[in-house]
Amino acid sequence: MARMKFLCDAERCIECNGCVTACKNEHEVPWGINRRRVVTINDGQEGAEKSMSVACMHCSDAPCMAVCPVDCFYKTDDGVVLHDKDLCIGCGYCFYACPFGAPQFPASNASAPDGRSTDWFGARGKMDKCTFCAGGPEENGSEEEFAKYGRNRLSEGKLPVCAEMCSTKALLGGDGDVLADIYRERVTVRGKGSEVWGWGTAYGKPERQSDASPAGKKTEQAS
Amino acid sequence: MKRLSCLIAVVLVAGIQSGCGEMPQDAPYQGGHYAGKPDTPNWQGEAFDGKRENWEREIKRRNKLQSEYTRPGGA
Repeated sequence: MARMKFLCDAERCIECNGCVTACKNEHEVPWGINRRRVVTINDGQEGAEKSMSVACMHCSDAPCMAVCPVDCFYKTDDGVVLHDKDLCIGCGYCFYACPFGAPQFPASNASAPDGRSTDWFGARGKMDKCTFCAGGPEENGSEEEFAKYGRNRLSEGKLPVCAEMCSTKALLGGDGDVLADIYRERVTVRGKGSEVWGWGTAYGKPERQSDASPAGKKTEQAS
Repeated sequence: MKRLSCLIAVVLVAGIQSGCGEMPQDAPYQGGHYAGKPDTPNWQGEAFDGKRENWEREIKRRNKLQSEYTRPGGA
């Protein structure tokens, strides 16, 4: 069973915002809602500037699920954290609980792709967030699902559009184990990065040979 | 008068001592249960003949395409 995760390689991200644009376009996200955004630190400082694409990280132990007073969150078998907008009361607790600022609330006068107002509840509206392109609790691929949650690419056998569109493949999305294999391979080839604290715990030597390793090329695994 | 003083003293002592007691203030965490509509698994569609293995195979194939080292013509 896959554990769906995102991984952003800060060494590769060039702050092109292609992931943000792809997400906006794919799901026809209204103004004022940013399911994904690119964060840059040390902006303008030569050699120290780093960018990273951030959205809902589909936490294994999601704090949004813990604080929701109406229990509108659920986790799919593949580890994707989704929510039922029909149940959401727009209280904003999830926004305060989320360490990534993923939950978004529509601005006033925002509208769904079909033109309906999304000011469903007071000034805050229903919460909206990254769905890992997995839609929500409506019929897969239906118009209703698209209007409320955006396109359901996972049910089409595709990965999130932000990751698949990333030009430098800085942003990876999919099964966490495969992503870890890909990242480990990159760092090994790069020759730097495995010295950081916590590397061994997160990306230590795999028990099996990486599926992402170059065919016929045995590389030394980072310790 | 003496009786009233004693009564006041008893009430005061009881009142002051009651402030020394402490009730547990930590609310026990109770994990909620999803209360919304059930969702259909992604693999339950015509595209994958309703078989989870077919869907997982396709997702795994896409997953691996994200590595330049394994893509045809990759580094």
